Amino acid sequence: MFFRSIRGMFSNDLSIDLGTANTLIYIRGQGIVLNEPSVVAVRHDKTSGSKIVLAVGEEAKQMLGRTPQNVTAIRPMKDGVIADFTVTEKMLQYFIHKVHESNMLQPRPRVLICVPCGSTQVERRAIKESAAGAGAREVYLIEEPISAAIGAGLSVHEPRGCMVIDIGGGTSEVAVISLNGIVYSESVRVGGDTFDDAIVNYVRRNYGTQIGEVTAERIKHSIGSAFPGSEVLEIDVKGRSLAEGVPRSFTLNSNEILEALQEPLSVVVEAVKMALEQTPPELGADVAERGIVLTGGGALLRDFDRLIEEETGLPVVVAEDPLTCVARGGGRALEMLDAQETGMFATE
Amino acid sequence: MNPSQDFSPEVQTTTDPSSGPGRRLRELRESRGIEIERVIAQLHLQRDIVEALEQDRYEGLPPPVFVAGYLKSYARLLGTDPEPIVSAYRSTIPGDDHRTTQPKTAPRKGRFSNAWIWILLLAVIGGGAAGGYFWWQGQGTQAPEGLEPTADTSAPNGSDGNATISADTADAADGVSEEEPNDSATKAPPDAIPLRSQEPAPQPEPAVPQETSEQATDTAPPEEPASETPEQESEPEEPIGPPQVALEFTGTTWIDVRDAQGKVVLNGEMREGDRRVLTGEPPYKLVIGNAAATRMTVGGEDFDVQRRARGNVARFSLDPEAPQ
Repeated sequence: MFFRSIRGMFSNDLSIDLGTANTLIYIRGQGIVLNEPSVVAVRHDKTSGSKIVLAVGEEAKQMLGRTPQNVTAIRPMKDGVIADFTVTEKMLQYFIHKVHESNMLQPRPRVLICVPCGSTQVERRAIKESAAGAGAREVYLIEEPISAAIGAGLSVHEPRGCMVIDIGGGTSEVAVISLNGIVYSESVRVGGDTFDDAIVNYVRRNYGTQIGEVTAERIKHSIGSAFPGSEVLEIDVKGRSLAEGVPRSFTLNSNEILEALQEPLSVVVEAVKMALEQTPPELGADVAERGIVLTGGGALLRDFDRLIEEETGLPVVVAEDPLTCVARGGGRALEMLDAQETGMFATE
Repeated sequence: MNPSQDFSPEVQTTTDPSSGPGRRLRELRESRGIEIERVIAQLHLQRDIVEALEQDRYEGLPPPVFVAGYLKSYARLLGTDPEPIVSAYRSTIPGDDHRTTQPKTAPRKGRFSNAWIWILLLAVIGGGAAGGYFWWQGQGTQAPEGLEPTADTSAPNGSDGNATISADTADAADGVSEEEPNDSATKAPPDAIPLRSQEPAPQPEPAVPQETSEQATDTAPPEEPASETPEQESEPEEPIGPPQVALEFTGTTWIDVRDAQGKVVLNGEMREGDRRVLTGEPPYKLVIGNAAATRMTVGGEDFDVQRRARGNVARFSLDPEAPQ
């Protein structure tokens, strides 16, 4: 116990956005120090039957879909929660060590982890225990919308409603926040990954060609949009023809991707409408006056704000640096932890 | 419907860049002949908010994240690049700390120096404690073999500052101070532990009283077993000091005894069956952790330790001349 606290003195408090697509770590006073894909490459040793972690993060992501038989590149998080406990623990351990590289002692930081508000008690406990197993001295949980709102710069402690839409890799969270707490929240298991899947399916259906997740993500980043724009963008894509079985090249444009994304986008829009419907009238008036804040990596999808704006008739603003909002908000929440303002932390 | 399609995209900003972002947007809007109502409708904002934006009055407006978003949407609506407008707005916000996540090294440095101070402090304390422990250990184990002959010679002698504790079973059992060593010396007590012996320490040989008595008398007087010679037997009797204070333990207890000089006479954990006779200069200051398991005699008479105890811990001063 004593040595743990000694090692704790050499460890920085961390706020971790343990996302389905990316893991971000924010250190108090230093900002975002790590932003890597939540991917782990594991090698299966057939002789001993054991699994060895080969690569984590960016390096492992490059292996996605390109691995030999004995290597598997795993995304241990699915839909915002842990899909593979052991691999998640290893990944967290790697990331925590990576941000404490200069330390001689094994780090024992206090860790705040952001969890989807729709996650179950079991899923939250799994995240907590995974972080503890990765070396965390103390583990706190915070619900993603609150963290995102703090990170976006909203005054969540005021008795005034604000609506946050956080579009992550695996889940999208819509929440109305007031007085450091969530008044209403809606979590849908649609996010950046669903958009990628939708693109893969669209290309397979319309072009008879199979493309990988990484390619789909690249298409989304390059020409993806959520609302018809003034200009039509194009991208050259290579995939495997399902009919001929050989790689072939073709061109996709942004209107096609918009069409491909219609289904998952409508799920998010429905969740927002549902949240507005369920919000108490006073808070709804606050939201109508100020607008909705969009955070998360999904907010970077071109004209997503305009889609929500047109669908709801409310002003929608994209937070600055939306990808890191949750992690930064968690970092600020850690500072509040020292000020004993613990009301915003989630219980298991 | 795409609002930006309503206006020509190739807009040249001809306004004065030194004016506020809101004024620049208003001038741009007016130069295009667009009514403010249209902006209100397109941005889904209230009239007073749009007017405040155009007049660069940000006091009554929502937090900066919203204002920056409104300005961005407004600029996009007019078909101009929103970035210069938003950055111009951000430059007007004092202490806008959430726009960057650049590493700030200062707090880290402070934190580490703080940690080092803690470590140094702990190292100093730890070093001191370890040094004290080894010193105490060294004192305790300096002359374990030569205990038998010297324990009695040194034990009662409080005048020379020799703070040896002799745990003479015979002594303690009798509870008599000066007269009894005659008997006890012959019995050669097995477990006397000198805490601060100076003369007994260098004794190289254990006492084997019966067999090596001649050799012992040849070498050095303090080494001589106290069993044979009458001079040595009488030695402890010479100083006439205060009545002897003996402690007998019927259970495990922690004890700390200091003499008038503040020197440690007895310190540590005693076990069941241990007996100790206090030396050093009275009066003594005693702290007994388990008063119920401690029996004390002063000059052979029972001294009620429990009467002095609060809870089960007794803290008191004892002058053997006037024990009550």
